[in-house]
Amino acid sequence: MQAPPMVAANTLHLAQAVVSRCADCHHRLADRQAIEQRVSGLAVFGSAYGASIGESGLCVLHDRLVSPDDHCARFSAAVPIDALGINES
Amino acid sequence: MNQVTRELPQGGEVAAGGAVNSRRGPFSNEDWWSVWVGLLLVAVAWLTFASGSSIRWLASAPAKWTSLAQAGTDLAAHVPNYVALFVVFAVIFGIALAVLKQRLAHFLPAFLILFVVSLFIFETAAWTQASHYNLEAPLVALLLGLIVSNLVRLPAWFQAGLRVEFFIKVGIVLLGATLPFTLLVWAGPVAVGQATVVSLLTFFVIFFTGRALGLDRRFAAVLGVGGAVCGVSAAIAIAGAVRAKREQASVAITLVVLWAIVMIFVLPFASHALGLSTGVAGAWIGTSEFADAAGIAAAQAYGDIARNAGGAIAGAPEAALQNFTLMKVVGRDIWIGIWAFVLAWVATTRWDAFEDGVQVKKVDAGEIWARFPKFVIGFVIASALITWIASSYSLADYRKVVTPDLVAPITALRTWAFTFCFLSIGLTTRLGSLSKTGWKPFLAFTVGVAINIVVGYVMSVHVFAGYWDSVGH
Repeated sequence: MQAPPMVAANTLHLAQAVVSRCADCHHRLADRQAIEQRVSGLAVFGSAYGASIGESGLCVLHDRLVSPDDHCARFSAAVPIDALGINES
Repeated sequence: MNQVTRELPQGGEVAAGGAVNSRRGPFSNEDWWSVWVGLLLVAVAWLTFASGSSIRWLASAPAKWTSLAQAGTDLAAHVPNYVALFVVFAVIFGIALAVLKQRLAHFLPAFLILFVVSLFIFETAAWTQASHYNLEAPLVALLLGLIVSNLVRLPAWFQAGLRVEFFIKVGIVLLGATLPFTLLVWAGPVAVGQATVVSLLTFFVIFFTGRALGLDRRFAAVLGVGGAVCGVSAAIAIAGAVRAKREQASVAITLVVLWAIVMIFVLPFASHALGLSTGVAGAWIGTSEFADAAGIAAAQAYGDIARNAGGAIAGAPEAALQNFTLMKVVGRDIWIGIWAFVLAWVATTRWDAFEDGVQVKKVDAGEIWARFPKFVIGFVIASALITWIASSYSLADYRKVVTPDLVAPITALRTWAFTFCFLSIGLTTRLGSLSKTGWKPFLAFTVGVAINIVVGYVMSVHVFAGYWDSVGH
């Protein structure tokens, strides 16, 4: 069943707001082994697999540590938009 | 298909549907796994003890020897014990690391090498003349690792076996089982008080020196907490909390690593030269070292020096490690979440927005728990469990039965875990691959190091000397 236009627009707006989080961004590196490789010395007396790093990941675009709920204008989705349930039309 | 649809996942921990796999679950990080592994070993030791037996057979370590022939005979006689011990460690570490999505095919052969070299280090330290040449196990492991990693390019797969933080956290949980809970309750508040004074002072000295030298606020904060709280873990926690640049985190970590390694050698020998008791030296090392693993290496080395000093150093050898742990883990480490929360709040509400357009989410108190070092929970539970078990024995029975059949095997397992860690520190420290720091961050951090050591010394040796001595006895 087709959603009314207003509801569809609101759904798209909401979905885009959710999608634009760093958590869903192509530029955010969350792989812990890769973070250890990119941050010199991290594995010597620390670890990217420990609790202290929390949910932080590395934004490879800004070369900065970011949290999943951060965002910026240069967001680029990491997963196919269909999988996120967004109406592309 | 639009532009967004064409972007594909990039090797990150991105689950189908865009959800990011949480690192907060009870099986999702090394801290939680160190709790499970440590408590499992303690529970097995306890159940075996309760059934009238002991895990002494498994928790083997080389006996003291005077000639190579004697060492060889002892080694050959205990081959089955060492094989069994390797299998137990390999299985439980392997399960943990497999769940954390590390490659077992790399970890297992690397760990086999690590185990064999650790055994060699144990054998060396068991030589009756070893102390004469300062061949304490932590120092031998560290030096050997440093020499090998800086002269030979180790294969990438071998790095999978060098889990410094995991080994040290497992060892700290096991250490809890040898530390009376009453001591934890009694000494904890003093440790927190002393550590708070020194941590705050060190942080502000590094932060304001860094600012005076023109360093960015976020960079100065990462440097400050790296020096004041718990080294590399603190540096990466605060870098994440204030959204520091990757290079800033790398430089802060490099400075922590360099100074921590220097202090592993300086603090035990300085303590010896100054004639400090083991309890006081442990408190000083706990206040002034920068990383848990480095501090445990220094404290254990001083305990070993005291053990072989024929009574020339006051206090029980074990007191150096106990007081270090009280000061570092209870006094400093557990506050990392609070530091992260406060600095994240300051960064988002008081400091300039990012020029590169990154918008930071509102800070929430969940940050405190998310970054809390969970292994401390295992440390406290292990301490409470063994204290409860010991409470039903008289002192004479405790020394005659509980110590040799329960506490001593757990201590041996702990020493193994620490030796894996010390060797891993050396093998992962490739000086050429560390970041170039620049003189400004180096100077800011070094001023903090000097303040930290002097104030830590004054508080441990003059202000609370009697207290730390009494804990040591």
